[in-house]
Parts: sequence; C-alpha cells; structure tokens
Amino acid sequence: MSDLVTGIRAQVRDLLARRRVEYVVGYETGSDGVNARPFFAYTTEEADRLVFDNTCTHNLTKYLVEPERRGSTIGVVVKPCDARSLTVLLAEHKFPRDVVAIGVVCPGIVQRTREGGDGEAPQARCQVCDQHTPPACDILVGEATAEGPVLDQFARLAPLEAQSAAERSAFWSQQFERCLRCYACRQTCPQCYCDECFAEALDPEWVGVRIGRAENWLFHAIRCFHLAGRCIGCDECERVCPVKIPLGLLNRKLRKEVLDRFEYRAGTRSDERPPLETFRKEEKLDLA
Amino acid sequence: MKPRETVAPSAMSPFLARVAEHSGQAVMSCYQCGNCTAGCPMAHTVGLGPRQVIRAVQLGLREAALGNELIWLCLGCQTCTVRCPREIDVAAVMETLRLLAIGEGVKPAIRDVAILHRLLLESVKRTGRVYELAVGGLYNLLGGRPLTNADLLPRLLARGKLGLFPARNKGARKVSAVYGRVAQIEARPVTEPIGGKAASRPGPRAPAPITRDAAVRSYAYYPGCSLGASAREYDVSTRLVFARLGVELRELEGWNCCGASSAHTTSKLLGHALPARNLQLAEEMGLPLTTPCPACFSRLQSTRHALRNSQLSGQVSEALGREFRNQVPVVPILGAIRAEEVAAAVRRPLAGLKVACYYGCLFVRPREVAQFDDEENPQTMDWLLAAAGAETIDWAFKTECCGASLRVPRPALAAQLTGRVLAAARRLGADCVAVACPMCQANLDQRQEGMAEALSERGAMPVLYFTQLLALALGLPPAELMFEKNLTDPLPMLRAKGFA
Amino acid sequence: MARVGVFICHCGSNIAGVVDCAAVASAARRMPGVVHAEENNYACSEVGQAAIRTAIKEHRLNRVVVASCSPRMHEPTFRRTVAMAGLNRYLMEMANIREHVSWVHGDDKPAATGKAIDSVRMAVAKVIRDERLTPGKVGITKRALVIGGGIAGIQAALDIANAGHEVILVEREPTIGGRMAQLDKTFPTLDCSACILTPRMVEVGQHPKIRLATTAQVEKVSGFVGNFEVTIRHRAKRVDHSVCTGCGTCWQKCPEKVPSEFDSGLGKRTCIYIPFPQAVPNKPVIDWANCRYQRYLAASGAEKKPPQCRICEKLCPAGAIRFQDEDSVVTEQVGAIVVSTGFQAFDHSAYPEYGGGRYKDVISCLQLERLLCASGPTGGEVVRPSDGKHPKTVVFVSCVGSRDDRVGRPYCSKVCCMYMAKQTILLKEHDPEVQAYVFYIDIRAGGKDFEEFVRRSQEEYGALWLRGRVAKVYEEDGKLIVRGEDSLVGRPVEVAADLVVLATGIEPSAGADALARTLGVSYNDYGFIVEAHPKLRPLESNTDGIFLAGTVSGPRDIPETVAQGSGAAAKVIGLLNQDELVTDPMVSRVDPLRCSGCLSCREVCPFDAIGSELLRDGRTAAKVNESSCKGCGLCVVTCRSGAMNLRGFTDQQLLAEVVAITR
Repeated sequence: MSDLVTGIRAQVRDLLARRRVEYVVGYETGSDGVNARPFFAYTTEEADRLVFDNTCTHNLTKYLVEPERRGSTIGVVVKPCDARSLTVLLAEHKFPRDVVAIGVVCPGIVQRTREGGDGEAPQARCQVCDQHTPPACDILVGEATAEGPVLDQFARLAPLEAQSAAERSAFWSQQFERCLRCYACRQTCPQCYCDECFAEALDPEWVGVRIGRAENWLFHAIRCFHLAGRCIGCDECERVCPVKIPLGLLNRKLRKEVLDRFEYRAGTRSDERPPLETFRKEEKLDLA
Repeated sequence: MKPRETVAPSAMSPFLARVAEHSGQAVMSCYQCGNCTAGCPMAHTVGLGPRQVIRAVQLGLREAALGNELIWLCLGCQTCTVRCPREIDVAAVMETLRLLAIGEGVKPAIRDVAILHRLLLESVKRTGRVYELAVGGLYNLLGGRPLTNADLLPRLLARGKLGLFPARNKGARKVSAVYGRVAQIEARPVTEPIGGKAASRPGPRAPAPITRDAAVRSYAYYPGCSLGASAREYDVSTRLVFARLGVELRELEGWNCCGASSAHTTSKLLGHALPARNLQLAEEMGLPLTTPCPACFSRLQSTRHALRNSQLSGQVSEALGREFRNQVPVVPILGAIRAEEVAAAVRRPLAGLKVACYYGCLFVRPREVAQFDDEENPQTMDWLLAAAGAETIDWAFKTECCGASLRVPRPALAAQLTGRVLAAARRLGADCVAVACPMCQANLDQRQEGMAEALSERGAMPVLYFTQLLALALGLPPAELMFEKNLTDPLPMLRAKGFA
Repeated sequence: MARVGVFICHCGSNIAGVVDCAAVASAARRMPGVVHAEENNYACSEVGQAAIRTAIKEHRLNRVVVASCSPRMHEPTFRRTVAMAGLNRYLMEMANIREHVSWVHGDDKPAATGKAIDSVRMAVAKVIRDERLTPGKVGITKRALVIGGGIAGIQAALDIANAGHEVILVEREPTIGGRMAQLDKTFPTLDCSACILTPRMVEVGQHPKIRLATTAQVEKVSGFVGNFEVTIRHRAKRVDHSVCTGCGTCWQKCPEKVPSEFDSGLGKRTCIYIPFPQAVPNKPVIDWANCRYQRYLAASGAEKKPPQCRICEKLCPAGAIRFQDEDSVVTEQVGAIVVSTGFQAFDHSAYPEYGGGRYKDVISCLQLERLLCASGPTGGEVVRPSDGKHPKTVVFVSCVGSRDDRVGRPYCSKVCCMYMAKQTILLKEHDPEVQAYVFYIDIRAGGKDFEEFVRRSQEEYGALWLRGRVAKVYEEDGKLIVRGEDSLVGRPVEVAADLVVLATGIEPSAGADALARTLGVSYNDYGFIVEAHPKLRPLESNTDGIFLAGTVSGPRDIPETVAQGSGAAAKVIGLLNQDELVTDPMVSRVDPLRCSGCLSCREVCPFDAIGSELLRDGRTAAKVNESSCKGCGLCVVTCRSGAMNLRGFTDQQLLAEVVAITR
C-alpha cells in the first residue's frame, strides 16, 4: 500500500474521530477493481476504503457546491489541480472556510479505458502539469518535491492556433455537430454551479433545448466565457464527454488568453477575483 | 517667395498632404510657437526659420517650402525635434522637404551643399567609404568655392588627418552593387510613399536606460569613415581603452560608410540601405554592435527604428540582396564602457583636470530613436570621466550643435557655433573639452584662432576625445595617444597638469 | 393584454423629410399588440402632447411608443405626458428615428424608412414587456461635507452654512486659504489677495454651523446621495488648540527650520508653526516628521542621538503641547459632499532646457508671488535668490507645463497669461527701473476687464511682450540668457535676464486622483475630476450627491472658482432642503432563486451598490441597494446565472427586441 494511501486514511480517520468534519469526500476503487471512483467516508471504518492512485481523475470539489451539502462541515481529498478549484470557489463564496482540504502530492493521472486495458499513458493535462504539490491545503499528504523543468502548458493549442479563422471554425463546427447536449461537461465542472444554468433557462430562453449546430455552438461558447479566468485546467470536461469533443482545447485557450493579457492564473489565490471582474487603474488593454 | 509678396494660401493643399505623408508628421498640429526657431543654430542666418518653413507647408506655399535655404543648411541637430510641444519631428519635415525638392527637380537654394552631398555619395559608391581629400577638393572646384578650408589643408595634411589615398575596403564592390539596386527600386513608379507613418512619440519624458550589461565582453566594432582618416586618434584610443578593460572589439569586415547626413537627406532608401548593410555584417558575427561615431550611431539606430516598417524593410532587403532581420542591438560607445570598470582600472587618476564634456547632438537625440541618456542634460561621459578622477563641469552647452557637416561648406558659420561652445567652457574654467564625435572634435579644434575674442586671453582650449583622457587615466603611455594630431595643441596643458 | 399606441413624429421636416412617416404608421398598425398608430407634426409640442393624451383615453391605451428623437432629448417630456394621462410613466418607450435614422441616412430614403419601421418594431416588442415601476424614497442627512479649504471650499461652506445647514470643512493643511493665500495681489483689480480672503477665512472659523477640521483627510466614503458615511482621519496636531492662545512663543523659539511650503520653498519655517500670520485656525501645529524630539524618540543605538529639544513644551505658557497625541479616525454621516481640493503648480524640473530646477534665479510664478508679497520670505523685496540683488531685467516664460505634449500637459492652464501681466505690473510698482519681457505664444485674456489689463501691462508699465516660445535658458556671467523667437518680426531673440520667471501650469493637487477613487468619481488623464456634463452640469460629478467646485475639475481663475463655490452650495442646499429623495426605479434587481451567491456583480459594480443577504434557506444571494444603483447594467452582463436583471431593460425585453427585427 502506498504511503499516500496510508497517509490519507490516517488523516481522515483522525478528522472523523474527533468530529472535525461530518464526512470526507475521497476516492475508493470502483466496481471494476481498477479505476477509482468518488467515495463519501462517514465513519472511521469507511476511511479504510479510501485510496489514492493514478486513476483518481475526478475533481471532487464538485461535490462541495451542491446545495444540499451546505451547512455540513466537509473534508475533501484534492489533487493540485483540484486544489486550484478550491481557491476559485472559496473566492466566490461557494462554501465556508471550515472545509478541510486534504491535499495529495499527485504522481499524475493516467488515461484508462473502461475495460481496464493497459493504457498507462498520462493524461494530456498531466503531461504538462507544473504543480505536483497542492497549494494552500489544510493537510498535505505526500512529500513535496521540486518541480521539474517548466513545460509549455499550451503546446496542445499550437496546431489550432496555426490555422486560419475559417479553418478553426470548420474544425469546431465538426466537433459540435456531435454534441448531444448531455451537459456532462457542465455537470462535472466544479466551477459550473449555477442552480439554473443559462442553457436551460426558459425566461428568457437564451439557447433552447433543441440539439442543433447553432445551439451547440452557443452553449459551448457561452460556457467557455463563463469559465474564462475561472477554469483551472483539470480537463475533466473533456474526459467525461461521451462523444469525445476536445473541450480541453477550448478552455485551455481561454486560460492562455487570460494569462497573456492579465498575467493571471486561476486558482492561485483565494483573495483574488478573476480579471474579468476586477479593474485596476494601471490596466491598459491593447484594444487594437 | 519674394519679400512682402502677397501670397495665396490654400487650406488642406495636396502639397501639405504630400509632406505630411512622406514625413509621417502631423504638420497641421504645429501652433507656431517658435520653439524650433528659437533653438535652431541656423535660424539667425536664413531667411525663413524652421517655424516659418512649417507655416509655408501649412499654407500650401510650395515654392517657399521647397526653395528656402534652411532645408539645405539644416544641420540635423534635432534640437527642434526635441523641443516641439506638439511632438512634431521638425528635422524629419526638413529632410522630407529636401527629398521632395530633389525628387521634384526644384533648384536647391544652396547649390554647393547639394553638390557636396552628391560628391560624398559618389565617393562611397566607388570605394565604400568617404575619401575626404577628394570630396573636399572636388567640392571646392564644383561648388565654386575654391578657397574654402584651403587654409587648413597644410596643417591637416601634416598631421596625417587627411588620407592621401582612399582607404582600402574589401566591401567596395558590394557597396556599388547596393547603389545599383537602390537606383532600380527607386526607378519604379511609386504607388505609395516609402516609410509610411512614423511611430508615435512617447509621452512625458523619462531618461533612457544607460548602463551596459556587464556580461557583454565582446562587441562588433563599426569605426566609421572618420576614424580611419581624420579621427584616427579616436580609433586608436578607443581600442586601447577597450583592450585595457578586457572588452573585445572585433571590426566589421568590409564595412561601408553609413551614409552620414548625405544619404538619408537625398535618398531615403539609400539612407537606410547603407547602414543596414553594416547591421547585417554584425548579425553574421553574432555580436552586439558598438560605434564611437555619433553620426554612424544615429544612422544605424534610425535605420533599425524605421525598418520596423515591413514595406521599407522589404525594399532594403532587396537592395542588399539578402534578407534584413533587424535584430542586432546597437550600443553607442558611451554606453559600452562601464564606469565601475573604469574606476577599478584607473592607474593615474585625472585629479585636478577640469573637463567640459561635450556630447554633441546625435548620441542622445531624438529620444525614441537613440534611447540613450538624456536629450538635454546627458551624463554618461561625465560619469566615465569622473570615474577616471576628473572634475566635470555642469554646463548648458552639452548638446548645443557644433556646426557638424557645415564645416566644409560654411566654415565661418560653423565657427560661430563652436565659438559659443568653447567660450562657455572657458568661462566656467574648464581645462579642456572632451568630445565623443569626430565632427565635433574637428569643429571645436580646428579654427580656434578665429575665436580668440571668445576664448579670452587664456588662449586656446584643447579638445580631446574622451577615450584619450580615459586612456591616460588607465595608465596608457601618452605617446601612443596621438596628441600631436590636434591643431590646438593639448600637450602644454597636459604637461602642466602632470598627465604627459 | 397590451394595448400599444404608436406616435410617429415628423419633427417638422427633420424626420418627415427622409422617413415616410405614413408608411411607418401603417406598418405599426400591423404589429402585434398595436391598437393605434398616428402621425404627429411635433410630438413634443403642446399640441402634440395633447394629441397623445387624447389618444390614450380614446383608445384605452396602456402602453405608448413615441417614434421621434433621442430619449436624451425628450424622454422626460413624454414620460410626463403619459403620466398626465394616467399611465405609469415607465410604460412609455421611444424609438429614435431622428438621430439614428433621418439624420444619418438622408441619402437613402427607402432604407431609412425600413430602419424606422424596424426601430418601431423593436420599441413595440420592448414596451409590451414594460412593467409599472414606482420610484423609491429615501431619507436625507442634513449635513454637508466640503473637502478642501481653499476659496472654493470656503465659499461653498459659507453659503451652505448661511442657508442653515451644518457643514464639515476638511482641509489637509494646518490652515484653510489654499493657493489664494499665497498670492500677493489678484488680477484684474489688483486687490490684495489676503485682504479679500482672510475675512472669509475668519468667518468660516467663527461660523456656528461650520465645523472646521484642519490637518484632516477623508479616508473612506461609502453610502449614496443623501446618506453618505465618511471616515475622516484627523492627523495629530500635537498642540491642544482648546488651550493654546496663539501667543507665538513656541514658533519663535523652535530651533528646527525646514523649507516653507507656503513660501514655495523660498523661505524657511519652524517645525512648530503656523503657515502664515493670518492662518485659520491661528494656532500652531507640530510638523512631527521633522521635529527634533520625534527624531530623538525614533533614534536607536547610543551614538549620535539628536538632542531631545522639547523647547516648545518647556516654554509654552498655556501648557498646550501634546507630544503623545495620535491621529484620530472619526466617522460622520453627511448628505452631500463638495470636492474643492484645488490645484498645485507644475514642477518645472521637467524642463532641463530651463535648468531643470538647478538655476537659483529661474523661479516659478508662485515663488515670484511670494517675493512680491509683503508677508513673504523677503518682506516684499523682489531679489534674486542667488545673490539677493534686485533684478533689473525680468523675463517671463509662458506655457511651462501647459500646451506641451512632451510633458503630458497638452491643455492650456488659462490663468498664466493674466498672472504674468499682473506680475509685470507689480514688479514695476516695486521697482520702477525693472524692465519685464514676456515670451508668450498666445495671450488668453477672456474675462471681464482682462484684455484691458493686459494692455495696461504693455502700455502703462512698459512690459515687452514677445511672441515666441523660449527654447533655452542658461547661466552666463551671473546673468541668465533667455533664447526665444519673436515670431511677429520673424527673428530669434536673446535677452540677458537677472531673473527668469516660469509661468508654471495648473495641475490637480497631489492625491486628487486617489481621493477621486475613494469617492468613486471619474477623473481624466491629468487627474482633474470629470463633470457630469462639461457644458450643462459643470458642478456635478458623475456620482449623485458629490459636487465639484474650483480647479479640482480644471484650470480656472478666482471669479469662476468663487462662482462655482456658490453654485455647488446651491446644489447642496437644493438637495438638503428636501425631506426625502426620490430614487430612480430603473435599477438592477436580483432573482434570489437563480442567484448562485458568487457575488461577481458586487465586484464589478462601480457604484458599490451591491451587497449580499442571507436567505431563509441558508444561501447567500446578492442584494442591490436601489438608491445607489445607477442602472448601468454592468452587473447584468457579468451575472453568469442570469439572476440579475435591469428594470426597464430586462433581458427579456432586449431579447424581444432582437427577435422583433430578426424574425
């Protein structure tokens, strides 16, 4: 059993035992015996079901923003990327500060097929990850190590960026043609927490429920902009898409724009609001 | 425009539009304050000062604008540009008017100056560099001024300040080829003016960064034509100083004349092609480029600045026969020497020597092109000489024009300007004037007998290159520093102070 | 069921000359919800308005669209019209078919008519969804705050106080009086500045309704018109003014002298000081940063400890010195604020060609003013700072820091031509042998008696006015050589001067931009606070309840400043005389069911009008303060959840407009 797992279990047992939290959201091994899945540990016995390995792909902070979880004191196991979600959500007052964040030093998460096949390749986001130690956590499990050489976070975007606007438009048209508007991307994203999503509003009806290319474009474009400056790059949206639309590219592109224009990375500080909500006198946008 | 002749002004004339477009300046925003005229060294000698020439352009008075003397006598000192409250580059407008006059076949008001420029360019075309003796001689003949500067000739020859033969230059043929291609490009019908709009001037003044990067220990070295002939002592002392400080200077192989003021005021493309060729040579060496001559520096920087315009850059690449990438940083020599290194290497401090540091205009102007030191009150030379132990004076003539290129066609006028500079230095008790420019040195050094009144009874004012003074302080032997080249002998003063 | 009436105005030929109004009316009749459409020659006129009211009654209209000019022209007019006919005033929409159609598409009448019809269609779609809105009411605190105690603030404070309202006058310096107190005489009357100013200053100091707070600064402002909460820091004076008699013993004996700000750096003052003899309050304060006793207390380590001093404390007969005093921070409630923080002179060290501040005998106009002034550092003797000799040739250089793009000041400072003329006259009065030269670019003498005043300078007092900017000033043999041009004769000109006076321009006082940010008002690139409308609302900022007076909003002279002080006071009195304020109902509203509590709206609101509230189900939701909200809509576009909506411009209305012209 790895040190990470021992560490997590010990911490959670302690938290539950002294009733610091009511329950902890973590990972357990799923029914296929290979891939991890989210798990809610309410008792110290259940704490022993917790695991942490390179299949722990889910961003568990999603569970913290659900309405029925308000009022409870919760613990959550977070990878570094998930921890960035925490900071964004804290800045947006989505849960009280007494949440206990159990940060885990992350080895990188792999892509695994549902059949449990051998694909040990790390996920695209993990290949360029430059933050293996979760920032700003209440408890840290694992040895913080120095980061490796800085990798280009946005290398994946290069082929698309090299294309003309017409070519890119054609590319995304093709992608969105497949979209079923299942909203899995939205459902899995912690930063998508609106009680009534604009996509499903009837008064006014911004988008409409019909699955059509125009509606699909509008849904993704608006969602993308709602996430600008808030997306922390976990790429879970892309992973859960049943028709494999590369949503990670879209959101990562906006992350890049925000970084270039405002020198801002979402999730670094919990006392900071995203650039699109802040004004600084020194700020001068090149609007040419 | 004859005096008192009634003129018919026109608003928004095609001529005004042409001048505005070619110069890239908003000529209509001039509100005629007169700051340019007030600062112009030539204003007292010409009929129309710079303000009035701009007014003529504003009113569409083409004959007055293209036929006046000022556009030919303009020294390019940029004092007007630096001071204009509407941020108009007045010197650029003067240059544009001169180019338009040439292009439209208007008879130059000052014929001999036009001839001088042609001769200089012709010399560069043949040999790649300026052959001063021939240019001066032919100018005297063809310009109808046979005795101009003839009095200086014996003394200049005796001191080896004028090469009897043109300098050997490996790149000579290549330079000729550049001329050929430039002529071809200029012969094409013009669909739009080359160059386009100038970059906008920066707002409130801020002094530019000055100290050089300590990590740079090697420079590509562009001496410029004068340093091979009339200013050899500048070249020698510069090399000695750099060698002593442990910074390598590698001379560009086959470099050509930068074109000085002649090229860019008679042909815009040639004016950029000639410096650009040298930048390309530096790029091949992979080193930043330094030059001791402010005129060369100004041309190199102006070219770097102007060639951010891709259309012009394309034409220059075509003229050079190779793509011009505009990536080599250019550092003026005052910025390539660090005061701390001088202070650490001083062996014989220049204690007791009171120096007036004279910068001339081109190292620091205009601000956004030179991006070096302060336009009105520069300090770099003062710091270097203070590091060498000298006392430098605080004076108001650091950047007052010395008369520059007019010393050949109008020596008397140039002498007036330099007389004021020297008189100011003398009044403030300076022992000598330190310069960083071959033309300034020549102007200040060579005609001091005519300025006896200005210089008062204390006699002549020695004019030395700052590198010669630094070399003295670094312990280099005076005999190697060519003090005998000066027409106004500095040795008595140096000996009296114990430096030679 | 909506019953919409559409009224198409001809506006004479302004609209009808381009747009086919009959066709518009005909198209309108076929639009859903429209039960009546008619044309009108001048809808805004008596006749036109009456026609609208008649139609409302006759056709039982419950919504009105007026297709005419811009709402900025006549929205209030037509709102009144429908209100008079018994409709809620917010059930009226305007379609702009003049500024947006007939005035810009005169070259294509059919297209213009088509666009007019589309505009009307949009307005109809919008008006159907208009709700009845009721303006709110809010109480008013009957107290005013005036920030800045120069002549503008003094005038405003006196006028407000004399109208019976309480005023708090906050001034950063130890005395009120501002720039005017530094002047010797004022143009064009040549009144002694202190003589006309000080009686007002005393009046302020003694007025029962004015609370004077000097060495005080506003730190924080929150709230909204009629209900501001202001936090003021009263910096410690370290002298108890309730006990101090102003005898002057302390400042006569204080050993520490520093350059005097009041004398513009020309003279010195002591550390415990009053800035000038007629200061109000006429009691000293301690400049703690420079005080020897403070340095003694701050010094650590044994060597080189400064003397303890405390001479003032030892000598004060009233025992008024209080070294232990600390700043106090106080919160006040006020209903209106007047900002009158004044100006400072441009720092001429930005001009190295004029010496960059290095030449002692190149001085600023304010410094000359102090030399001229009998209560100045030289007792009214105009002498050269370098050697104390009387100058015989004085050269004035205009536009230093004005009309100059290079130093980032392209504007004209308005008063310099006049004060240069004044100073040439005063110089000659002091010394008949003085010859003044003025290098100018243009002479700006646009006020009453101003032109005549400038002529006096030239004709009676012999000042030589040379038209041309000065390029350079440098020292030579004890003189200052001034090089300029006389462009009228067309020659460069040189004058050897004994004294050079730079007409330094006007810029806002230091810290004015920070104060503007504290107050939440806009300011321009130079730091001048921006008026609500430069022509028609020069005394109001863009925040209701915050008024402007004096040079805080731009260069101006004393008569204008005083007029503005009184004008701002009138606005304040008008506000405070009411018992309650009516608030505009076209404000934002939160739908708590949709709000996700992220409070992004609060972050972006420029008017601090959004807070949060705890709902009964434990969620936090945003809450709009309807009195502060100005209806800008920034929160609406920021809200991702679609919870924020702007009454009168709801999302539903805007979408309906889009649908109306796209389907």
